[in-house]
Amino acid sequence: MTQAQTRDGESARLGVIGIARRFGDAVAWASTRIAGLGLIAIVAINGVNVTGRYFFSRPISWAEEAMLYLMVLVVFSALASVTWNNAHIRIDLLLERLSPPLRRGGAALAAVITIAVCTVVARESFTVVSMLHGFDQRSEAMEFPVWIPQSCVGIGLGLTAILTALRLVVPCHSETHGVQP
Amino acid sequence: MSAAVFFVLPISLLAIGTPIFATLMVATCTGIMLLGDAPLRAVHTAMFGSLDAFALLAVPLFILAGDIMAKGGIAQRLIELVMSVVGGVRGSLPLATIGSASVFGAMSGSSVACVAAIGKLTLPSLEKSGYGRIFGVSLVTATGVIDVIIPPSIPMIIYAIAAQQSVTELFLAGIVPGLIVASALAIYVVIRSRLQGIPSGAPPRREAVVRAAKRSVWALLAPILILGGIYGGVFTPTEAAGIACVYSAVVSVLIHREMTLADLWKTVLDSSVLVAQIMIVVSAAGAYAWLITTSGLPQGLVAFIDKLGLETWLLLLVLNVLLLVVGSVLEPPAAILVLAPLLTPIAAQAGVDPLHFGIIVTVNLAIGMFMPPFGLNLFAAHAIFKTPLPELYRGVVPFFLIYLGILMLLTYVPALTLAPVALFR
Repeated sequence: MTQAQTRDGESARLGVIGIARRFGDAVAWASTRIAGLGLIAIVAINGVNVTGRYFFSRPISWAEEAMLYLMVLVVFSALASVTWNNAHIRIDLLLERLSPPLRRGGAALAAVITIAVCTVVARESFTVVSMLHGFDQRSEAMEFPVWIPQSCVGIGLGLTAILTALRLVVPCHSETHGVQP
Repeated sequence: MSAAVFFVLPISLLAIGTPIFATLMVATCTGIMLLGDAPLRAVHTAMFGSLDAFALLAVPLFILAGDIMAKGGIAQRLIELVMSVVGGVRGSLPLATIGSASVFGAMSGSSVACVAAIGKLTLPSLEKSGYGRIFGVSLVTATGVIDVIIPPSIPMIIYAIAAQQSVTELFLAGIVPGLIVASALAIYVVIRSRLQGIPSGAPPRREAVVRAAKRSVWALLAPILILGGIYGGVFTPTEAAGIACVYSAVVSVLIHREMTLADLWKTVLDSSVLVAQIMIVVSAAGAYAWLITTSGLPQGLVAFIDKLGLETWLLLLVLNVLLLVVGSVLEPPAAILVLAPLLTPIAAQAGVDPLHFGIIVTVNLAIGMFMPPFGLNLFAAHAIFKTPLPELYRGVVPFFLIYLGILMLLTYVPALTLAPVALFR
């Protein structure tokens, strides 16, 4: 293999890593903002509901349902950012005491387990969501299609699986180990 | 087989650094495949269902409120006020730390936010006054967990949901224990300051107190609004948490002017990430707890304990040890969701009031938050203040012993928790 071929191969590898990193950054950026807007919407609906109930005796009938659906959106949306920044709550004090190769092996195994379980549950989620969509099941208060909030679970876990896999090829991104505040 | 699925597998996965939510999901999926007759789809339904509880909405809202208060000048004003009042007492700085953490605890419900907010503001003065950095960080670390014990408390909300108890009544039960913890810590720091020969500061001046009170009047109204609203029956805890967010944002941005709208947006983003970190564990733990409940394990455990014929005092002692150990490795929300379905029936069988047991669980898990080697607040303090963990482990020992003493008192004198509840019933 010539030097030029080696350089081409290296830059192609770096190019793939660069694309993976940009993709991960973009997903984390967008998901945090969606979650932030969801959190603000919860506060706003709660405020309007309390004001309506105590000052005008007119609470919003769908407030509770909407806030719960928004909470699901916040959790499974910001999950992508938590995953990309490797900020999941974990206990890895034992791992820290191992030699670097064993530590890397343990972290890789933990990542593979996370990818596997998130993929399995995300797949099951899409089965459930498809059924709910097929039945056109609606919520009680808002008569909102329940497959929409329920799909947050599958999308969130699916993105978690993808971003965890990407982190295996983009190893230096925001390494934050241990129990996070 | 059950023991392998419910305990050995999760412990092994945690040991290799698997995220807690993924560990719980693996245990649930494996349990369904090996032990249950439910389809795997049930994991999705249980995970979604565990977030579908109105009382749980208080958790993200209290996290956001705590973050805004910490960054928007409310916490700082509280410290200034407490300092102006206790400035003349020997040990005034540690006292101010404890007092501020207690008031902050009555507003926010997030222990890590409390450690960050109060610690960043008081630690430089504690060091300058001769208390030493390790004592200062240990004090902040141990005092931060008052936030878990003084209502409103996120673990209490989660216990109330898991054990099907009233959040408001559990909050009422937590008032006296919170005050006992604050008082015991205050006595300890005063004695320690005397032994260390730290001089007392200037006696409080009326003008300084009035000036600090004027500056912090909006900060002081927050706990009155939140707790008064909850106990007065005006708001549910969830509504109060939402009101706390609006109130703290308005005060920080428009009145104190210590936060711009851009800062507020950044705080919202930070909080939403923290919410996801905690609530994904709650969601996965809900599925795990569902599997434990449907597997019949709690009933089996109750029957086993019943057969042992343990006296109630001994049973409570055993449960305390178990909770302390679990609390030192697991986050309180996850620990509560996993253990409540197992332990609540055992405690009920022994005649322990579920509210009293809720406080025992909360205090144990609060201690676990700063119990070496895994306590969450230790890691938070280590990350925020860059203090070496071994020194921090030694520094928190006196506080740990004080908390243990209080835990025993609360365990064996149920009236301390149940009397305020009886008063309001």
